[in-house]
Amino acid sequence: MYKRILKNLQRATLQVDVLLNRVLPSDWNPLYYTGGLSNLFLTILILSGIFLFFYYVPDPNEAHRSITFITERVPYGRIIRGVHRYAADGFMVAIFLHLFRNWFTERYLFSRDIPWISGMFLLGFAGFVGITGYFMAWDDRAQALLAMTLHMLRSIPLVGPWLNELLLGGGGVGERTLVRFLFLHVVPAVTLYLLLWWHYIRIRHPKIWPPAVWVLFSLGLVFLLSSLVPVVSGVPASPTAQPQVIPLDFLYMWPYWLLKYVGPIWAIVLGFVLFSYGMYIPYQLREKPEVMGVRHAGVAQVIEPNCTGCELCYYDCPYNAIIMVPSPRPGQTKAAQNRKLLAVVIESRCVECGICIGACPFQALELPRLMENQVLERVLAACRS
Amino acid sequence: MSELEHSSSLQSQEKPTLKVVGFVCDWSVDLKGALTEDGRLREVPNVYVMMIPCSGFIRPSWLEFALKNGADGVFVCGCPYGDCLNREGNFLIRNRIQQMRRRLQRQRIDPERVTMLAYGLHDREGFLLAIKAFLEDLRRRVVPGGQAVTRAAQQSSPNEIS
Repeated sequence: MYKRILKNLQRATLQVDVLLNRVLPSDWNPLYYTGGLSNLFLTILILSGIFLFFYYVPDPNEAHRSITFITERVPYGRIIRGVHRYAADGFMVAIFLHLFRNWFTERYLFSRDIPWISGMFLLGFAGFVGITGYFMAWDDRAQALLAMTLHMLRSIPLVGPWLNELLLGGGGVGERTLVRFLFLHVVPAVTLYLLLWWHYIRIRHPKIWPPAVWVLFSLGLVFLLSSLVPVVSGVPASPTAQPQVIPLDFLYMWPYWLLKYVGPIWAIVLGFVLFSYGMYIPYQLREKPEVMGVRHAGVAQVIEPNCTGCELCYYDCPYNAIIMVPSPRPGQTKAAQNRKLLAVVIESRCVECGICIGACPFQALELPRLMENQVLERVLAACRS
Repeated sequence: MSELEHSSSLQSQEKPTLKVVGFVCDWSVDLKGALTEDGRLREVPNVYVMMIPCSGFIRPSWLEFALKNGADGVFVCGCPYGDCLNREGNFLIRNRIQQMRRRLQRQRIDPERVTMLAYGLHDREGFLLAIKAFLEDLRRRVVPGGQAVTRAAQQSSPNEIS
């Protein structure tokens, strides 16, 4: 049942691709660059965030005023603030597209679970940075969010009240509070780059940037939106203000949305369950080798006597699974006799795609269950029949 | 009317059956149920298809081997460009085929007998259409009763010079 749903989702995902490829050349298809688009939006966010950081004052009395100053007095401040806001939405949209696309097209198999797991952490951190960003404006919405957050934290048994105090920096909202929020907004955002290193580490040529068309389009979109629909803050937060109905957007605020329907502790539990399930996805529907057929042709093997140490497989392996080591002895074939290096396959990184076999002109690599002579025999049989 | 029918049937008899060997990435076009037991396409039975783990797995020398051992055409089918599960497999094989074409030209083998296709998992119609177009193109390059002609032979034949 669950498997069939996933199959249908995969079909739908790929059909969207087919439709888009009819309109656009396939290397412009934005759905092939969801990761690059998220990276683009992250760059926009970091650059505009540095600009905003120069003017922002993390103090409950000054924060709202400093943002009004940015919006009204600082040259282009209104635009940059809008860009920061809309790029954050674009970031989340691109991240979710990336997540669902890679989920439905099974890009988590074999050793690809490393990008998947680091991706779950990236998603968590990005969501957290987004949520703390709402507190920066320190208007009525931030105040309502703070009340809901404290409510949620307080519901955690044993450590709840202590976490409350930790977040606020004292018994109530004081001058230390916004410094903490600014820290929680900036430091996890920087940590995203550390996680991205983990995300890319096993990938040889990651597509980290979309084509120029989509860079220009996304930049244009956020700039246009921020000038056409300027971002505005609500009324300044004050201890005496009455809590009121505030609009919650779906991308970042869904944990708060949940609060309407479930108790605060269950909202936290649900978040944890979703996160843990996300980590479990790559291991959930592992198929047996017998079912996978040609997709599971065995880890690539180096035929040591033939290897010339030319590094072609090393450059082409998409998962950094081949490393070159100093050759312990000369090879046997004429071409391999003067080799300095020898290719070695790291088995835990190999996804059995066989790209190294296509790269090797010296017949020094084989997939154990789909060897070259098997392929040639079948070709010959087909030609003779 | 009957003459016409007669002539057309004669023509089809004269047309040699083409032999085409294809390598299809297992993650690209879904051919479950479209193949016979010995690996031929049901709709185009003179196309022999071999499933492979990724289009980048193909060594160009295998394509050359097929051409020299009696295949009239060879094709490799990968995922749409940009959508390769291993990110680069189809770009790599496309480049390798491009390089191989020059090599074939030097050996007086018509490079148009090798082609690269890119179709997604559920795009079987597009794939079959492309195969049929490829066969149609091959048929034009084939001398009756024999193998596909080389470009050199085509150029030297008096009909082709115009």
